[in-house]
Amino acid sequence: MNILLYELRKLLSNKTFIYLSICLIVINIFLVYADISQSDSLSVKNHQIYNEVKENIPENKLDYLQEKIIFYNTINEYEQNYDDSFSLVYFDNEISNFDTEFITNYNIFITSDEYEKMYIYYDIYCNLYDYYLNIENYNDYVIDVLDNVETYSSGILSKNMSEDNKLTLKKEGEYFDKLKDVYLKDINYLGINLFIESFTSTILMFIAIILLVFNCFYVDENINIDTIVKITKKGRWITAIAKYFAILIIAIILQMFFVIASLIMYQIVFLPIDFSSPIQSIPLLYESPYNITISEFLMFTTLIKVFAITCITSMFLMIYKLFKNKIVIVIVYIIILFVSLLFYLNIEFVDYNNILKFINLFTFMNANTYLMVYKGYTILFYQSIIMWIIVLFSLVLFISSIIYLIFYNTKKETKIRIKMPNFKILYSHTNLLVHELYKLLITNRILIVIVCLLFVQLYFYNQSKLPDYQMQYEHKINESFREFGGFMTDEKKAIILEKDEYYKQKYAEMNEVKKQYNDNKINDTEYSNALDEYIVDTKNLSYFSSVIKKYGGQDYLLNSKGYRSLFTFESIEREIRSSLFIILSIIVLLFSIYTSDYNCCNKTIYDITKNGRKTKLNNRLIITIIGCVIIVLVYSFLEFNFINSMYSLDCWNAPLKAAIQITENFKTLPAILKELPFYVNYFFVIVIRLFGAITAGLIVLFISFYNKKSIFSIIISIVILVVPLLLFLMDIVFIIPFSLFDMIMGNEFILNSLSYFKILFYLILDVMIIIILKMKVANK
Amino acid sequence: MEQEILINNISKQYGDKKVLNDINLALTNGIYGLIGPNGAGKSTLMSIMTTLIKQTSGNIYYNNQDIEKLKEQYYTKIGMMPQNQKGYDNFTALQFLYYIATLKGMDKKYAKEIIHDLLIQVGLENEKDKKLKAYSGGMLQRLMFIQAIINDSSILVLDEPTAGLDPYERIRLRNLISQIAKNKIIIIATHVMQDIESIAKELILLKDGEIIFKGSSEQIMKTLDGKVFEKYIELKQLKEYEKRYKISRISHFDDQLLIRYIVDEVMPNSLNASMEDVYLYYM
Repeated sequence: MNILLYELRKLLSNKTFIYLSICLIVINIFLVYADISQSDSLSVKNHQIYNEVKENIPENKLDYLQEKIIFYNTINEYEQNYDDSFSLVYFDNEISNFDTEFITNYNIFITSDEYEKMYIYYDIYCNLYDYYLNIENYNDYVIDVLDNVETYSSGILSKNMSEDNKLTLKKEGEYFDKLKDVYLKDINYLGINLFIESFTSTILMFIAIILLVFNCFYVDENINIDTIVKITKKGRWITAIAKYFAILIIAIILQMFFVIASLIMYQIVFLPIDFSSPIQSIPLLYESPYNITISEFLMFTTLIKVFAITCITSMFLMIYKLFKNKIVIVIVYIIILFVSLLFYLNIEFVDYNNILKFINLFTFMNANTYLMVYKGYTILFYQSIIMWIIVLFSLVLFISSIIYLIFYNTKKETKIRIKMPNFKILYSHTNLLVHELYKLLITNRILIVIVCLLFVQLYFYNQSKLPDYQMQYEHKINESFREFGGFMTDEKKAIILEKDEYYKQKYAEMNEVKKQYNDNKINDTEYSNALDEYIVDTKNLSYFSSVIKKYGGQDYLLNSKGYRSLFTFESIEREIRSSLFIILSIIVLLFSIYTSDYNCCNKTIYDITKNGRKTKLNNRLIITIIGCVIIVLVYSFLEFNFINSMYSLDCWNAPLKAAIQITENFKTLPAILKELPFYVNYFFVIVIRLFGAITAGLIVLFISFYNKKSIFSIIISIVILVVPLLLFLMDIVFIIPFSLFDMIMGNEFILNSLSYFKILFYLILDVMIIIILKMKVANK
Repeated sequence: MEQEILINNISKQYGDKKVLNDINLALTNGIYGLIGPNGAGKSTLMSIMTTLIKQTSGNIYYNNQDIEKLKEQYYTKIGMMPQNQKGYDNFTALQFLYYIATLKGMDKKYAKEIIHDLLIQVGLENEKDKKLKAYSGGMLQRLMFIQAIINDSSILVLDEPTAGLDPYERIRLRNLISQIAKNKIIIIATHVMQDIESIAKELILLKDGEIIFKGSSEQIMKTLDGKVFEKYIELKQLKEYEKRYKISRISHFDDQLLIRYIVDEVMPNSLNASMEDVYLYYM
């Protein structure tokens, strides 16, 4: 027990570990926050509509939702009539159904925001409809399941069934039988649904386990204290097992933090739920055969996660003990997790027969899957639910780990050593700049962190990408704009009007044909031929209608969605996130640039060399500038690529004003910029970002120069550069004139606070920093 | 209590490289100096003696029992002070010593008394609540010495115990080792010959994984009788002398150099050998 307490103390007194753990918890909270804070995200829209329905429609919710869905369906059908080959069906059968009331509603609707995100709204209304329908019909659903079980397990169908399947059916029936008297309630399901769906904490937990094992075992090896510990009475297997338990305890506590923090955040944003409701009230768990409440569900899943942590820790520990090279250990671990993730994501959830969906580290760590459906596994003649088998497996692994640790630590250690490539070419170089870069990026492992941040940003982009069908639609619209848009010369205007007239005429002709057909003046074949011809002639009508909707008296006609997004006319959330990652990358890159010199008294050694002061500072300034430039360009490229993939940005010559609506008023934006083309304006944005990032870099360099400890350097940098951004997020806007983040955002600075005084101030600051540093190293 | 460690035909090989080659030693109570250049196999031999690594062949017996079989019984007898040892930065000296005492399975009350006494003996009483990251190299060395002897180990293995200490601390530690040496087998690996010259019962010279001499300091110095000389030479003659002899000291006197050198054959009018001469001659 004593040894365990010492191991816990060692872990908890390790500041690096504590800071990294806090980082993981903060990242978890941030990811949850990012997920639920984007005002145009599906979850937030869902929440708004759910609240509207709940508050405004006390009764007959289903009727209301059905009406909405029918309205959307009708719009879809109506628009399809103008569209492509599908119109064959609709025109033929439905055209006459569009009454004038609908047309009026439609004309109002297309001017609303809802129209732009029609697909999202449609999905939300459908889901909400299903949700209320499921609540109402739950008992019927249970009876249906029981009837099916009865039908399949008796009569002719059961003859072709394997014994295993019969047993599964029987067990499933037994579970559902207990649900006959269960009644579902309308709970504030969105938060808990998102909580169950999310697996960010699972990924963070995998990272936490790496940190824990390394901190617990590697720290001892690193300071060579093993030689003292291992020759003591309790220094071998007892210490190893104590370390193992210490890792488990801390991992479980961390897991609790992740779960509780996420749960609280979802509860705050999406209102609290009734934890005593049956789990089937949560849409994701509607088909669950288990008669438990939400609170019991949370307890069960937490317990499974504890077993999962045990299992994963044991596995990682074995890998750790097997290989000598630390990098190999991490790579092997990541490969195993990656394969698990692939199985988890690529096996359809409904594919219940695939055992890999269940026996999988991700599923195990996520735990929820086991309670969503019934999955049994027969061993000899006894069938158990797979969850218990997995738990049993983790217990076996737990005991094996202890035996392994006892056995391993009793014997002399033998580890597999894999020869790693060395970077001799890099470090045998005599260029100080190369040495500094190598030290910073490779030795201090900063490159890994920067790349990780980049991946998180990519993850966010991937999350907020439009669905494929919508992207295809946008591309087609763009093609139409390419054909008819651009600078509006008289010639172009004439072409558009001519085309519009052409479609109207075709439509009128087709209407005439339909009338004749209804009056039996033409036969089926003639009507069908006319319809075919109409479809061919009006193939691109729906895309052209986007052009005609935008067409007015403007000088330039373009599909502005992409540029509006790029210049953040509608939402600055993407740019805030991007600037946060840029600032974090800069801090990570530079916070230890000087402080790391103090380790092992290297600074004294460097300072007395010929190039150890001035030349070194020059090189570090170059690294700061180049590093900031690269970071900004990479993030800007990602942003550009993300928007371009959705909206095909190909009108760079158009003036900025072409994307600005009349109602929009960007006070600080000079009129000259509105007249300049997009590419010039985007160039300005990049320049401002670069200026902001380089200033931020110089500030971090300066902080690092004046601090002996990396931890102080990173904290001060975060306080100066990140905290203002967080305050801004909390609507404390007076911080903007004194902060740097709006310049790193770029558009925010140009559109809303373009201040030449601020540019001048930071320019002077940059020069001052460089002068002070140069004077300091020259001992002046 | 009389005790004996018998090292029997110990060899250790890493791949094709033989680090220790058929080592045979018998150690009884007393201080032994293990001397050899870097890479001679000192650390490997000590690691094998403390069961930290496994020998390729041979056995070690403690009081006629194989240490492989004694395991925990053997661990309670040994204490080790590794070279350039660091502690846990965030532990205080007292926390660290209690941790080691716990690992060694010591009674808490006894540990408290012995830790207190030892801290006073090495002059760390006033620094016991300081975190180890604030310790100087010398303070850490003294602390590591305490952890090695905390359970009154009867076998002590000290790897470069005086490295990084100032002369005052070196003398103090050397005296401390002498004080506690009674009824103990103490093996000290070092490059500093003066540290063990006066206190070691026997010196063991290790070179390229083999023992090239084992005996008292008087015996070893006697082997150099008639072989150590001093002479004034011109600067231009230095290269010639360096080729022919091992030169242990060069001093400048005006235009001449006074050199101390060792020859292979016994000659008359020689000087008394020092430990430095011994080291140079054999290594």
